[in-house]
Amino acid sequence: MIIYNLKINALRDSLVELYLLEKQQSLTPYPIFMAIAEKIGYDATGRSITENDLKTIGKYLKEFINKINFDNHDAS
Amino acid sequence: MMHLNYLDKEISIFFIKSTDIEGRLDPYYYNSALQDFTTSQKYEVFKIQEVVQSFISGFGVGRQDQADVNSGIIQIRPTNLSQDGLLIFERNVYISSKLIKHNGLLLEKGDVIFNNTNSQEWVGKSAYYDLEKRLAFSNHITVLKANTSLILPKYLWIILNLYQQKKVFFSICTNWNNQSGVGIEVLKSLKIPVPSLSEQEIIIATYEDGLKRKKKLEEDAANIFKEAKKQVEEMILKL
Repeated sequence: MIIYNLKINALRDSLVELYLLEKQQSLTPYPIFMAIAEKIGYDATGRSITENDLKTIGKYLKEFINKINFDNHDAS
Repeated sequence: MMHLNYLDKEISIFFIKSTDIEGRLDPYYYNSALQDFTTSQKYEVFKIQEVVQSFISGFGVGRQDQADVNSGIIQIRPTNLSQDGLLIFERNVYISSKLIKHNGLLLEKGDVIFNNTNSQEWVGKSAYYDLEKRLAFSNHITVLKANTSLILPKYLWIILNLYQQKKVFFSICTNWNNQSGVGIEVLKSLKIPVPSLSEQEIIIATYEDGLKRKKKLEEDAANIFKEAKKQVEEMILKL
């Protein structure tokens, strides 16, 4: 019984994976913006620190959004 | 092949193509060393569930159910796994054998012990179970039984520890208050490079030889320091 359950689960997982892969490939590819902010202007105790990655990330994110808006406007 | 287009490598700001997304959207996953192991190496890549026959998690035992050394069996916990992925028995928890409902809840030689819950830094450390005696294991442990026609348990042990040391589990774990976890589903879908069995044997021999030499050097270093302390003691006592 356990072996059958394992096989059923494996089959279900592979079908879900195939579906997601096909769905993903049917869409027009687009870039996704990702960033990791390690320093955010204060430390774990709440004290202010000078480093703040959010400032740099915000700058690039703004450029990214502006480009999307520009491309969309251009396309229409 | 996955390609990340970095805008700023120091802060890790990057673009990823939608076609490269693997069912999750966390940047730590795509920015981790996992990509090096799965896209820029020379072996075929498999999901762990494709090379492992079973994944079994242990069960939790409260203090009230713990036994003593004479009446119980050891329940393997994260404290029984060294930083190098070796079994250690310096601090043991014993449980009553009555709590073991079936043999599947006991370790057997050849199992790979995966620490599924720990601090973010240590989650994922793994050990190879090389004992004949069958011991129990806690809910912090997931036991993997390798499909030995595809992967040798010792190779699986090595690659899991390599992932832990390269902070792959650090990047993909789920964080709660002071604890981090790698669930069975995440572990099952994790990709690893799987060389041929003969190449795995070479990798295992290289790793074990390194461990043996490390142990010897540590023993030598401890003896040198012990001797130095003895000399200092004699110098002081002579004064």
